[in-house]
Amino acid sequence: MPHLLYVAYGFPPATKSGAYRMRAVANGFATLGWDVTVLSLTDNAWLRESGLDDSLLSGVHHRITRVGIPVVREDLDPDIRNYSRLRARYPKKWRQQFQHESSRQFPEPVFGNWREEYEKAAPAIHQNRKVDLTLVSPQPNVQLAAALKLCETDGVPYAIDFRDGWSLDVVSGREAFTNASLAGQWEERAIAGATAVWLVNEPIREFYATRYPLARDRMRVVRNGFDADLLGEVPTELPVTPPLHFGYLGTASFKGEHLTAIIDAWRIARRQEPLLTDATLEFRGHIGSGFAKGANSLTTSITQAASDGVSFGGPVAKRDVNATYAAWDVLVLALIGGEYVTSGKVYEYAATAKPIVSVHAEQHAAAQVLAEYPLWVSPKSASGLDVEPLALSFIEAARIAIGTSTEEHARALAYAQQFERGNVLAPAIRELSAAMGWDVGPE
Amino acid sequence: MTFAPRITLLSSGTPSQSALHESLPGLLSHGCTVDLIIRNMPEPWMADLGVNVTSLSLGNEMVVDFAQQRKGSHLPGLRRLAVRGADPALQTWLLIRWNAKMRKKFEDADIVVALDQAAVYTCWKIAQSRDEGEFVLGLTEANLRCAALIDRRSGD
Repeated sequence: MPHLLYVAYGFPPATKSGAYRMRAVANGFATLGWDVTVLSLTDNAWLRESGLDDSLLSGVHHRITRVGIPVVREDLDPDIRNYSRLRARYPKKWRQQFQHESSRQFPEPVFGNWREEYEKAAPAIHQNRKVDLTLVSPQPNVQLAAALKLCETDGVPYAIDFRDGWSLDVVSGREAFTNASLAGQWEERAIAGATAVWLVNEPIREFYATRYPLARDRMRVVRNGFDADLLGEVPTELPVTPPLHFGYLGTASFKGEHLTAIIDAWRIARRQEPLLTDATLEFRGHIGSGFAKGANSLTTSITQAASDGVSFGGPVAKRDVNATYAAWDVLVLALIGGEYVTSGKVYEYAATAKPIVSVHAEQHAAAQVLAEYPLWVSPKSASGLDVEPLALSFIEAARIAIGTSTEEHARALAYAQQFERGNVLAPAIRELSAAMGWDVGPE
Repeated sequence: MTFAPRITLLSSGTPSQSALHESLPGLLSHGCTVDLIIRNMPEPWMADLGVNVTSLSLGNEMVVDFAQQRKGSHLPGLRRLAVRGADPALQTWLLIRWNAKMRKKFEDADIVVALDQAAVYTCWKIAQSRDEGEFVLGLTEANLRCAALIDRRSGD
Protein backbone atom coordinates (compact mmCIF):
# COMPACT_ATOMS: atom_id res chain seq x y z
CA MET A 1 0.00 0.00 0.00
CA PRO A 2 1.28 3.51 -0.70
CA HIS A 3 2.08 5.62 2.32
CA LEU A 4 0.96 9.24 2.66
CA LEU A 5 2.57 11.54 5.19
CA TYR A 6 -0.07 14.15 5.89
CA VAL A 7 1.36 17.16 7.71
CA ALA A 8 -1.81 18.58 9.17
CA TYR A 9 -1.67 20.92 12.15
CA GLY A 10 -5.20 20.97 13.51
CA PHE A 11 -6.16 17.40 12.62
CA PRO A 12 -8.87 15.95 14.91
CA PRO A 13 -9.40 15.80 17.79
CA ALA A 14 -8.14 19.40 17.70
CA THR A 15 -11.04 21.81 17.41
CA LYS A 16 -9.41 23.95 14.75
CA SER A 17 -11.54 25.30 11.93
CA GLY A 18 -9.72 23.21 9.30
CA ALA A 19 -10.08 19.93 11.22
CA TYR A 20 -13.01 18.64 9.16
CA ARG A 21 -11.32 19.25 5.84
CA MET A 22 -8.20 17.50 7.12
CA ARG A 23 -10.18 14.55 8.36
CA ALA A 24 -11.98 14.26 5.01
CA VAL A 25 -8.74 14.55 3.02
CA ALA A 26 -7.05 11.83 5.10
CA ASN A 27 -10.16 9.64 4.85
CA GLY A 28 -10.26 10.20 1.10
CA PHE A 29 -6.73 8.85 0.66
CA ALA A 30 -7.34 5.98 3.08
CA THR A 31 -10.46 4.97 1.18
CA LEU A 32 -8.39 4.74 -2.00
CA GLY A 33 -6.07 2.33 -0.24
CA TRP A 34 -3.37 4.62 1.11
CA ASP A 35 -1.96 4.19 4.58
CA VAL A 36 -1.90 7.65 6.10
CA THR A 37 0.35 9.00 8.83
CA VAL A 38 -0.89 12.31 10.12
CA LEU A 39 1.66 14.61 11.69
CA SER A 40 0.02 17.08 14.09
CA LEU A 41 0.59 18.13 17.69
CA THR A 42 0.06 15.91 20.73
CA ASP A 43 -3.41 15.87 22.29
CA ASN A 44 -1.98 17.57 25.37
CA ALA A 45 -0.75 20.45 23.27
CA TRP A 46 -4.21 20.86 21.72
CA LEU A 47 -5.81 20.80 25.12
CA ARG A 48 -3.98 24.03 25.86
CA GLU A 49 -4.44 25.56 22.41
CA SER A 50 -7.84 25.34 20.72
CA GLY A 51 -9.19 22.50 22.84
CA LEU A 52 -10.15 18.89 22.02
CA ASP A 53 -13.30 17.24 20.76
CA ASP A 54 -12.88 13.47 20.88
CA SER A 55 -16.11 12.98 18.98
CA LEU A 56 -14.23 14.16 15.87
CA LEU A 57 -12.12 11.00 15.98
CA SER A 58 -15.08 8.70 15.54
CA GLY A 59 -15.09 9.00 11.74
CA VAL A 60 -11.33 8.71 11.22
CA HIS A 61 -10.48 5.80 8.88
CA HIS A 62 -8.66 2.83 10.41
CA ARG A 63 -5.76 3.22 7.95
CA ILE A 64 -4.92 6.57 9.52
CA THR A 65 -2.28 6.83 12.24
CA ARG A 66 -1.71 10.00 14.21
CA VAL A 67 1.75 11.12 15.29
CA GLY A 68 2.14 14.06 17.65
CA ILE A 69 5.14 16.30 17.14
CA PRO A 70 6.72 17.36 20.46
CA VAL A 71 6.09 21.09 20.20
CA VAL A 72 3.78 23.39 22.11
CA ARG A 73 2.69 26.97 21.65
CA GLU A 74 5.17 28.63 23.97
CA ASP A 75 3.17 31.84 23.81
CA LEU A 76 0.17 29.96 25.25
CA ASP A 77 2.08 28.39 28.17
CA PRO A 78 -0.32 28.73 31.10
CA ASP A 79 2.27 27.98 33.82
CA ILE A 80 3.19 31.32 35.33
CA ARG A 81 6.11 29.76 37.18
CA ASN A 82 7.79 29.29 33.79
CA TYR A 83 7.59 32.98 32.98
CA SER A 84 10.52 35.36 32.99
CA ARG A 85 10.09 38.72 34.66
CA LEU A 86 9.84 40.31 31.21
CA ARG A 87 6.98 38.03 30.26
CA ALA A 88 5.11 38.55 33.53
CA ARG A 89 5.55 42.29 33.70
CA TYR A 90 5.66 43.35 30.05
CA PRO A 91 3.83 40.66 28.03
CA LYS A 92 3.73 42.72 24.84
CA LYS A 93 7.48 43.31 24.86
CA TRP A 94 8.05 39.63 25.61
CA ARG A 95 5.82 38.64 22.72
CA GLN A 96 7.65 40.93 20.32
CA GLN A 97 10.96 39.45 21.38
CA PHE A 98 9.60 35.90 21.18
CA GLN A 99 8.18 36.42 17.71
CA HIS A 100 11.41 38.01 16.52
CA GLU A 101 13.43 35.05 17.77
CA SER A 102 10.95 32.56 16.36
CA SER A 103 10.97 34.19 12.93
CA ARG A 104 14.72 33.81 12.66
CA GLN A 105 14.32 30.07 12.11
CA PHE A 106 11.40 30.31 9.70
CA PRO A 107 9.65 33.51 8.57
CA GLU A 108 6.56 33.03 10.66
CA PRO A 109 6.01 34.57 14.08
CA VAL A 110 4.95 32.21 16.89
CA PHE A 111 5.49 29.00 14.88
CA GLY A 112 8.85 29.64 13.21
CA ASN A 113 10.86 27.95 15.95
CA TRP A 114 9.12 24.63 15.22
CA ARG A 115 11.05 24.27 11.95
CA GLU A 116 13.72 22.02 13.40
CA GLU A 117 11.19 19.62 14.91
CA TYR A 118 9.27 19.35 11.65
CA GLU A 119 12.48 18.81 9.71
CA LYS A 120 13.39 16.00 12.09
CA ALA A 121 9.94 14.40 12.28
CA ALA A 122 9.31 13.86 8.56
CA PRO A 123 12.57 11.95 7.83
CA ALA A 124 12.06 9.91 11.02
CA ILE A 125 8.63 8.77 9.80
CA HIS A 126 10.10 8.01 6.36
CA GLN A 127 12.88 5.99 7.94
CA ASN A 128 10.36 3.96 9.87
CA ARG A 129 8.24 3.37 6.80
CA LYS A 130 8.90 4.70 3.31
CA VAL A 131 6.75 7.71 2.48
CA ASP A 132 5.45 7.87 -1.12
CA LEU A 133 3.87 11.29 -0.95
CA THR A 134 3.82 14.15 1.53
CA LEU A 135 0.74 16.33 1.62
CA VAL A 136 1.03 19.53 3.65
CA SER A 137 -1.85 21.56 4.94
CA PRO A 138 -0.12 24.84 5.84
CA GLN A 139 -1.16 27.38 8.44
CA PRO A 140 1.16 27.38 10.07
CA ASN A 141 3.37 27.49 7.04
CA VAL A 142 6.37 26.20 8.97
CA GLN A 143 4.94 22.77 8.16
CA LEU A 144 6.19 23.26 4.61
CA ALA A 145 9.67 22.72 6.03
CA ALA A 146 8.81 19.05 6.69
CA ALA A 147 7.85 18.39 3.07
CA LEU A 148 10.76 20.35 1.64
CA LYS A 149 13.24 18.54 3.87
CA LEU A 150 11.93 15.10 2.97
CA CYS A 151 11.96 15.99 -0.72
CA GLU A 152 15.49 17.33 -0.44
CA THR A 153 16.96 14.41 1.54
CA ASP A 154 14.99 11.46 0.13
CA GLY A 155 13.35 12.75 -3.03
CA VAL A 156 9.81 12.24 -1.67
CA PRO A 157 7.34 14.21 -3.81
CA TYR A 158 4.92 16.54 -2.07
CA ALA A 159 1.69 18.42 -2.63
CA ILE A 160 0.29 21.42 -0.80
CA ASP A 161 -3.31 21.83 0.31
CA PHE A 162 -2.72 25.55 0.59
CA ARG A 163 -6.37 26.43 1.19
CA ASP A 164 -6.16 30.22 1.69
CA GLY A 165 -2.51 30.47 0.64
CA TRP A 166 0.22 32.44 2.34
CA SER A 167 1.35 35.41 0.28
CA LEU A 168 -2.24 36.60 -0.08
CA ASP A 169 -3.87 38.34 2.85
CA VAL A 170 -7.34 36.95 2.16
CA VAL A 171 -9.02 39.40 4.51
CA SER A 172 -7.60 42.61 3.01
CA GLY A 173 -7.15 41.13 -0.47
CA ARG A 174 -3.60 42.45 -0.62
CA GLU A 175 -0.21 40.80 -1.05
CA ALA A 176 1.05 39.73 2.38
CA PHE A 177 4.74 39.83 1.43
CA THR A 178 6.87 40.28 -1.69
CA ASN A 179 8.61 37.54 -3.64
CA ALA A 180 11.96 38.92 -2.54
CA SER A 181 11.21 38.58 1.18
CA LEU A 182 12.31 35.53 3.13
CA ALA A 183 8.72 34.27 3.27
CA GLY A 184 8.45 34.92 -0.46
CA GLN A 185 11.54 32.82 -1.11
CA TRP A 186 10.20 29.94 1.00
CA GLU A 187 6.84 30.04 -0.74
CA GLU A 188 8.37 30.20 -4.21
CA ARG A 189 10.60 27.22 -3.44
CA ALA A 190 7.67 25.25 -2.01
CA ILE A 191 5.42 25.90 -5.00
CA ALA A 192 8.16 25.32 -7.56
CA GLY A 193 8.72 21.78 -6.28
CA ALA A 194 5.13 20.81 -5.53
CA THR A 195 3.33 18.12 -7.52
CA ALA A 196 0.01 19.83 -6.86
CA VAL A 197 -1.19 22.99 -5.14
CA TRP A 198 -4.78 23.10 -3.91
CA LEU A 199 -6.58 26.37 -3.15
CA VAL A 200 -10.08 26.89 -1.80
CA ASN A 201 -11.58 29.19 -4.41
CA GLU A 202 -11.05 30.57 -7.86
CA PRO A 203 -9.97 34.12 -6.86
CA ILE A 204 -7.19 32.67 -4.68
CA ARG A 205 -6.14 30.23 -7.41
CA GLU A 206 -5.98 33.11 -9.89
CA PHE A 207 -3.84 35.16 -7.48
CA TYR A 208 -1.38 32.27 -7.17
CA ALA A 209 -1.41 31.45 -10.88
CA THR A 210 -0.52 35.05 -11.65
CA ARG A 211 2.20 35.11 -9.03
CA TYR A 212 3.71 31.77 -10.06
CA PRO A 213 2.81 31.34 -13.76
CA LEU A 214 5.11 28.35 -14.24
CA ALA A 215 3.09 26.38 -11.67
CA ARG A 216 -0.30 27.44 -13.06
CA ASP A 217 -1.15 24.01 -14.49
CA ARG A 218 -0.45 22.29 -11.15
CA MET A 219 -2.89 24.49 -9.27
CA ARG A 220 -6.52 23.60 -8.79
CA VAL A 221 -9.47 24.75 -6.76
CA VAL A 222 -10.47 22.29 -4.04
CA ARG A 223 -13.39 23.87 -2.28
CA ASN A 224 -14.47 23.37 1.27
CA GLY A 225 -17.74 21.58 1.87
CA PHE A 226 -19.98 20.16 4.56
CA ASP A 227 -19.60 16.76 6.21
CA ALA A 228 -22.78 14.81 5.60
CA ASP A 229 -21.85 12.09 8.09
CA LEU A 230 -21.30 14.60 10.87
CA LEU A 231 -24.15 16.95 10.12
CA GLY A 232 -26.83 14.44 9.18
CA GLU A 233 -30.19 15.74 8.01
CA VAL A 234 -31.22 18.75 10.05
CA PRO A 235 -34.91 18.48 10.96
CA THR A 236 -37.10 21.47 10.20
CA GLU A 237 -40.71 21.64 11.33
CA LEU A 238 -42.78 23.57 8.84
CA PRO A 239 -44.50 25.92 9.12
CA VAL A 240 -42.15 27.80 11.45
CA THR A 241 -43.91 29.82 14.14
CA PRO A 242 -42.72 32.57 16.52
CA PRO A 243 -40.80 33.00 18.72
CA LEU A 244 -38.03 32.75 16.16
CA HIS A 245 -34.55 31.57 17.06
CA PHE A 246 -31.60 32.99 15.14
CA GLY A 247 -28.19 31.39 15.52
CA TYR A 248 -24.54 31.73 14.65
CA LEU A 249 -22.24 28.73 14.82
CA GLY A 250 -18.53 28.94 14.12
CA THR A 251 -15.15 30.13 15.29
CA ALA A 252 -15.70 33.82 15.89
CA SER A 253 -12.86 35.50 14.03
CA PHE A 254 -14.70 38.75 13.50
CA LYS A 255 -13.92 41.94 15.34
CA GLY A 256 -15.84 43.85 17.97
CA GLU A 257 -17.24 46.36 15.42
CA HIS A 258 -18.70 43.50 13.45
CA LEU A 259 -20.46 42.11 16.49
CA THR A 260 -21.63 45.56 17.56
CA ALA A 261 -23.24 46.08 14.15
CA ILE A 262 -25.01 42.73 14.43
CA ILE A 263 -26.33 43.46 17.91
CA ASP A 264 -27.38 47.04 17.08
CA ALA A 265 -29.20 45.86 13.95
CA TRP A 266 -30.79 43.04 15.92
CA ARG A 267 -32.18 45.50 18.46
CA ILE A 268 -33.68 47.69 15.73
CA ALA A 269 -35.18 44.68 13.96
CA ARG A 270 -36.73 43.42 17.19
CA ARG A 271 -38.35 46.81 17.77
CA GLN A 272 -39.67 47.17 14.21
CA GLU A 273 -40.85 43.66 13.33
CA PRO A 274 -43.61 42.00 15.40
CA LEU A 275 -42.39 38.57 14.27
CA LEU A 276 -39.14 39.27 16.12
CA THR A 277 -40.62 40.55 19.38
CA ASP A 278 -39.56 37.54 21.45
CA ALA A 279 -36.91 36.31 19.05
CA THR A 280 -33.52 35.14 20.29
CA LEU A 281 -30.06 35.34 18.77
CA GLU A 282 -27.63 32.74 20.01
CA PHE A 283 -23.90 32.58 19.32
CA ARG A 284 -22.23 29.17 19.58
CA GLY A 285 -18.69 28.08 18.87
CA HIS A 286 -15.17 28.99 19.83
CA ILE A 287 -14.32 32.50 20.90
CA GLY A 288 -10.71 33.26 21.80
CA SER A 289 -7.92 30.75 22.36
CA GLY A 290 -5.39 29.81 25.01
CA PHE A 291 -6.14 31.36 28.40
CA ALA A 292 -8.78 33.59 26.81
CA LYS A 293 -10.87 30.68 25.52
CA GLY A 294 -14.49 31.80 25.80
CA ALA A 295 -13.49 35.04 27.46
CA ASN A 296 -12.82 38.11 25.37
CA SER A 297 -14.50 41.37 24.42
CA LEU A 298 -16.89 39.54 22.09
CA THR A 299 -18.37 37.44 24.87
CA THR A 300 -18.65 40.56 27.01
CA SER A 301 -20.62 42.37 24.28
CA ILE A 302 -22.90 39.36 23.86
CA THR A 303 -23.51 39.13 27.59
CA GLN A 304 -24.39 42.82 27.73
CA ALA A 305 -27.09 42.30 25.11
CA ALA A 306 -28.86 39.59 27.10
CA SER A 307 -31.97 41.70 27.54
CA ASP A 308 -32.39 41.70 23.74
CA GLY A 309 -32.46 37.93 23.61
CA VAL A 310 -28.76 37.64 22.70
CA SER A 311 -26.68 34.90 24.29
CA PHE A 312 -23.45 32.94 23.98
CA GLY A 313 -23.80 29.21 24.47
CA GLY A 314 -20.14 28.17 24.16
CA PRO A 315 -18.61 25.56 21.87
CA VAL A 316 -20.65 22.74 20.34
CA ALA A 317 -19.29 19.20 20.20
CA LYS A 318 -19.59 17.84 16.69
CA ARG A 319 -22.12 15.25 17.81
CA ASP A 320 -24.39 18.12 18.95
CA VAL A 321 -24.15 20.21 15.79
CA ASN A 322 -27.27 18.74 14.22
CA ALA A 323 -29.36 19.44 17.33
CA THR A 324 -27.96 22.95 17.54
CA TYR A 325 -29.00 23.79 13.99
CA ALA A 326 -32.32 22.04 14.50
CA ALA A 327 -33.14 24.42 17.35
CA TRP A 328 -32.67 27.49 15.16
CA ASP A 329 -35.01 28.93 12.54
CA VAL A 330 -32.57 31.32 10.84
CA LEU A 331 -28.78 31.11 10.53
CA VAL A 332 -26.62 34.21 10.77
CA LEU A 333 -23.58 34.01 8.49
CA ALA A 334 -21.14 36.56 9.92
CA LEU A 335 -17.86 36.52 8.03
CA ILE A 336 -14.82 38.73 7.73
CA GLY A 337 -13.01 39.63 4.52
CA GLY A 338 -14.25 39.74 0.95
CA GLU A 339 -13.82 38.07 -2.42
CA TYR A 340 -11.02 35.75 -1.27
CA VAL A 341 -12.62 34.44 1.91
CA THR A 342 -14.66 31.26 1.66
CA SER A 343 -15.65 30.10 5.06
CA GLY A 344 -16.19 26.36 5.45
CA LYS A 345 -19.24 27.28 7.47
CA VAL A 346 -21.20 28.58 4.49
CA TYR A 347 -21.50 25.06 3.05
CA GLU A 348 -22.72 23.60 6.33
CA TYR A 349 -25.23 26.40 6.71
CA ALA A 350 -26.58 25.70 3.22
CA ALA A 351 -26.87 21.99 4.00
CA THR A 352 -29.33 22.75 6.82
CA ALA A 353 -31.78 24.19 4.27
CA LYS A 354 -32.68 26.94 6.74
CA PRO A 355 -32.91 30.64 5.84
CA ILE A 356 -29.45 32.27 5.93
CA VAL A 357 -28.95 35.96 6.63
CA SER A 358 -25.54 37.17 5.42
CA VAL A 359 -23.57 39.62 7.55
CA HIS A 360 -20.50 40.13 5.39
CA ALA A 361 -19.27 42.26 2.49
CA GLU A 362 -21.33 42.28 -0.68
CA GLN A 363 -18.29 41.23 -2.72
CA HIS A 364 -17.59 38.06 -0.79
CA ALA A 365 -16.72 34.55 -1.92
CA ALA A 366 -19.55 33.23 0.28
CA ALA A 367 -22.01 35.32 -1.74
CA GLN A 368 -21.04 33.35 -4.85
CA VAL A 369 -21.69 30.08 -3.03
CA LEU A 370 -25.13 31.24 -1.90
CA ALA A 371 -26.15 33.16 -5.04
CA GLU A 372 -28.63 30.47 -6.11
CA TYR A 373 -29.61 29.33 -2.61
CA PRO A 374 -33.39 29.82 -2.41
CA LEU A 375 -33.53 30.88 1.27
CA TRP A 376 -30.75 33.45 1.27
CA VAL A 377 -30.90 37.04 2.49
CA SER A 378 -27.99 38.76 0.76
CA PRO A 379 -26.07 41.73 2.24
CA LYS A 380 -27.82 45.04 1.74
CA SER A 381 -24.77 47.30 1.96
CA ALA A 382 -21.23 47.15 0.56
CA SER A 383 -19.66 46.22 3.89
CA GLY A 384 -22.67 44.24 5.04
CA LEU A 385 -22.33 46.00 8.38
CA ASP A 386 -24.46 49.13 7.93
CA VAL A 387 -26.87 48.83 10.80
CA GLU A 388 -30.17 49.95 9.21
CA PRO A 389 -29.85 47.73 6.12
CA LEU A 390 -28.73 44.87 8.33
CA ALA A 391 -31.83 45.30 10.50
CA LEU A 392 -33.90 44.99 7.31
CA SER A 393 -32.03 41.77 6.54
CA PHE A 394 -33.01 40.32 9.91
CA ILE A 395 -36.62 41.29 9.27
CA GLU A 396 -36.58 39.78 5.78
CA ALA A 397 -35.06 36.57 7.17
CA ALA A 398 -37.79 36.35 9.81
CA ARG A 399 -40.47 36.65 7.14
CA ILE A 400 -38.77 34.05 4.94
CA ALA A 401 -38.53 31.67 7.90
CA ILE A 402 -42.24 32.00 8.65
CA GLY A 403 -43.22 31.69 5.00
CA THR A 404 -40.96 28.83 3.92
CA SER A 405 -42.91 26.11 2.12
CA THR A 406 -42.03 22.42 2.01
CA GLU A 407 -41.09 22.85 -1.66
CA GLU A 408 -38.71 25.72 -0.94
CA HIS A 409 -37.10 23.75 1.85
CA ALA A 410 -36.62 20.77 -0.49
CA ARG A 411 -35.10 23.02 -3.16
CA ALA A 412 -32.63 24.46 -0.63
CA LEU A 413 -31.68 20.95 0.47
CA ALA A 414 -31.13 19.80 -3.11
CA TYR A 415 -29.07 22.88 -3.94
CA ALA A 416 -26.65 22.22 -1.08
CA GLN A 417 -25.86 18.63 -2.07
CA GLN A 418 -23.20 19.82 -4.53
CA PHE A 419 -21.17 20.98 -1.52
CA GLU A 420 -20.94 17.62 0.27
CA ARG A 421 -17.27 17.43 1.20
CA GLY A 422 -16.62 13.91 -0.08
CA ASN A 423 -17.94 14.91 -3.52
CA VAL A 424 -15.85 18.07 -3.50
CA LEU A 425 -12.58 16.39 -2.49
CA ALA A 426 -12.80 13.09 -4.39
CA PRO A 427 -11.70 14.33 -7.84
CA ALA A 428 -8.63 16.11 -6.42
CA ILE A 429 -7.60 13.13 -4.28
CA ARG A 430 -8.07 10.70 -7.17
CA GLU A 431 -6.09 12.96 -9.47
CA LEU A 432 -3.20 13.22 -7.01
CA SER A 433 -3.23 9.49 -6.30
CA ALA A 434 -3.15 8.72 -10.01
CA ALA A 435 -0.30 11.17 -10.51
CA MET A 436 1.65 9.14 -7.94
CA GLY A 437 1.08 6.01 -10.03
CA TRP A 438 -1.54 4.47 -7.74
CA ASP A 439 -4.38 2.65 -9.46
CA VAL A 440 -7.45 4.52 -8.23
CA GLY A 441 -9.93 2.25 -10.01
CA PRO A 442 -13.20 3.38 -11.56
CA GLU A 443 -15.08 6.34 -10.01
CA MET B 1 -10.70 11.77 52.78
CA THR B 2 -10.80 13.64 49.50
CA PHE B 3 -8.58 16.67 49.28
CA ALA B 4 -10.36 19.90 48.27
CA PRO B 5 -8.01 22.59 46.93
CA ARG B 6 -8.22 26.25 47.81
CA ILE B 7 -8.25 28.37 44.68
CA THR B 8 -7.73 32.09 44.30
CA LEU B 9 -8.76 33.74 41.03
CA LEU B 10 -7.51 37.22 40.19
CA SER B 11 -8.88 39.61 37.58
CA SER B 12 -7.33 43.02 36.92
CA GLY B 13 -10.74 44.25 35.75
CA THR B 14 -14.09 42.48 35.47
CA PRO B 15 -13.82 38.81 34.53
CA SER B 16 -15.79 37.27 31.69
CA GLN B 17 -19.20 36.11 32.88
CA SER B 18 -19.47 33.35 30.27
CA ALA B 19 -15.99 31.99 31.02
CA LEU B 20 -16.76 31.83 34.75
CA HIS B 21 -20.14 30.23 34.16
CA GLU B 22 -18.50 27.64 31.95
CA SER B 23 -15.51 26.81 34.15
CA LEU B 24 -16.44 27.41 37.77
CA PRO B 25 -18.88 24.48 38.08
CA GLY B 26 -15.95 22.16 37.34
CA LEU B 27 -13.93 23.60 40.21
CA LEU B 28 -16.85 23.74 42.63
CA SER B 29 -17.89 20.17 41.88
CA HIS B 30 -14.55 19.08 43.30
CA GLY B 31 -15.45 20.80 46.57
CA CYS B 32 -12.88 23.56 46.03
CA THR B 33 -13.01 26.77 48.03
CA VAL B 34 -12.82 29.54 45.48
CA ASP B 35 -11.94 33.18 46.14
CA LEU B 36 -12.49 35.59 43.26
CA ILE B 37 -10.60 38.86 43.62
CA ILE B 38 -11.39 41.55 41.10
CA ARG B 39 -10.06 45.03 40.44
CA ASN B 40 -13.44 46.54 39.49
CA MET B 41 -16.68 46.75 41.41
CA PRO B 42 -18.65 43.49 41.72
CA GLU B 43 -21.46 42.94 39.21
CA PRO B 44 -24.90 41.63 40.29
CA TRP B 45 -24.40 38.37 38.36
CA MET B 46 -21.40 37.51 40.53
CA ALA B 47 -23.70 36.84 43.48
CA ASP B 48 -24.79 33.56 41.87
CA LEU B 49 -21.33 32.20 41.18
CA GLY B 50 -21.01 30.30 44.44
CA VAL B 51 -17.61 31.81 45.23
CA ASN B 52 -16.33 34.50 47.60
CA VAL B 53 -16.03 37.72 45.63
CA THR B 54 -13.76 40.51 46.89
CA SER B 55 -13.27 43.77 45.07
CA LEU B 56 -10.02 45.69 45.30
CA SER B 57 -12.09 48.81 44.74
CA LEU B 58 -14.03 48.48 47.97
CA GLY B 59 -12.86 50.02 51.25
CA ASN B 60 -9.69 48.08 51.72
CA GLU B 61 -6.48 49.41 53.13
CA MET B 62 -5.08 50.41 49.80
CA VAL B 63 -7.96 52.70 48.98
CA VAL B 64 -7.37 54.41 52.31
CA ASP B 65 -3.71 54.69 51.45
CA PHE B 66 -4.61 56.29 48.14
CA ALA B 67 -6.71 58.89 49.94
CA GLN B 68 -3.93 59.61 52.39
CA GLN B 69 -1.43 60.09 49.61
CA ARG B 70 -3.50 62.76 48.03
CA LYS B 71 -3.57 64.57 51.37
CA GLY B 72 0.16 64.24 51.72
CA SER B 73 0.37 61.03 53.65
CA HIS B 74 3.36 59.49 55.33
CA LEU B 75 3.89 57.15 52.39
CA PRO B 76 7.42 57.32 51.04
CA GLY B 77 7.70 59.42 47.92
CA LEU B 78 8.86 56.58 45.74
CA ARG B 79 5.82 54.49 46.66
CA ARG B 80 3.50 57.40 45.91
CA LEU B 81 5.09 57.86 42.51
CA ALA B 82 4.87 54.16 41.79
CA VAL B 83 1.18 54.01 42.60
CA ARG B 84 0.23 57.16 40.70
CA GLY B 85 1.97 56.14 37.52
CA ALA B 86 1.14 52.47 37.69
CA ASP B 87 -0.32 50.55 34.78
CA PRO B 88 -3.10 48.01 35.52
CA ALA B 89 -0.63 45.15 36.10
CA LEU B 90 1.46 47.06 38.60
CA GLN B 91 -1.49 48.71 40.26
CA THR B 92 -3.10 45.31 40.84
CA TRP B 93 0.11 44.04 42.37
CA LEU B 94 0.48 47.04 44.68
CA LEU B 95 -3.11 46.70 45.83
CA ILE B 96 -2.41 43.12 46.83
CA ARG B 97 1.06 43.72 48.19
CA TRP B 98 -0.03 46.38 50.66
CA ASN B 99 -3.10 44.50 51.84
CA ALA B 100 -2.08 41.71 54.21
CA LYS B 101 -5.53 40.16 54.37
CA MET B 102 -5.78 40.02 50.62
CA ARG B 103 -2.25 38.74 50.22
CA LYS B 104 -3.02 35.86 52.53
CA LYS B 105 -5.64 34.55 50.11
CA PHE B 106 -2.81 34.12 47.62
CA GLU B 107 -0.35 32.72 50.11
CA ASP B 108 -2.77 30.07 51.35
CA ALA B 109 -4.08 29.00 47.95
CA ASP B 110 -3.19 25.68 46.36
CA ILE B 111 -3.84 27.12 42.93
CA VAL B 112 -3.59 30.78 42.00
CA VAL B 113 -5.22 31.73 38.71
CA ALA B 114 -4.68 34.88 36.68
CA LEU B 115 -7.80 35.53 34.64
CA ASP B 116 -6.18 38.06 32.32
CA GLN B 117 -2.76 39.27 31.22
CA ALA B 118 -2.61 42.21 33.62
CA ALA B 119 -3.26 39.86 36.56
CA VAL B 120 -0.25 37.73 35.66
CA TYR B 121 2.33 40.00 37.24
CA THR B 122 0.75 39.78 40.68
CA CYS B 123 0.57 35.99 40.48
CA TRP B 124 4.14 35.84 39.23
CA LYS B 125 5.38 38.05 42.09
CA ILE B 126 3.70 35.86 44.67
CA ALA B 127 5.01 32.72 42.97
CA GLN B 128 8.54 34.10 43.41
CA SER B 129 8.12 34.09 47.16
CA ARG B 130 6.45 30.68 47.45
CA ASP B 131 7.99 27.29 46.83
CA GLU B 132 4.62 25.57 46.80
CA GLY B 133 1.37 26.18 45.00
CA GLU B 134 0.46 26.27 41.37
CA PHE B 135 0.23 29.53 39.45
CA VAL B 136 -1.57 29.46 36.15
CA LEU B 137 -3.12 31.68 33.52
CA GLY B 138 -6.72 30.89 32.59
CA LEU B 139 -9.56 28.77 33.87
CA THR B 140 -9.03 25.87 31.46
CA GLU B 141 -5.63 25.22 32.99
CA ALA B 142 -7.02 25.80 36.48
CA ASN B 143 -9.49 22.97 35.97
CA LEU B 144 -6.78 20.63 34.70
CA ARG B 145 -4.47 21.44 37.60
CA CYS B 146 -7.25 21.08 40.10
CA ALA B 147 -8.17 17.59 38.91
CA ALA B 148 -4.50 16.55 38.84
CA LEU B 149 -3.88 17.97 42.31
CA ILE B 150 -6.84 16.12 43.79
CA ASP B 151 -5.63 12.89 42.19
CA ARG B 152 -2.17 13.40 43.61
CA ARG B 153 -3.10 14.52 47.10
CA SER B 154 -5.97 12.11 47.59
CA GLY B 155 -3.56 9.29 46.95
CA ASP B 156 -1.10 10.56 49.60
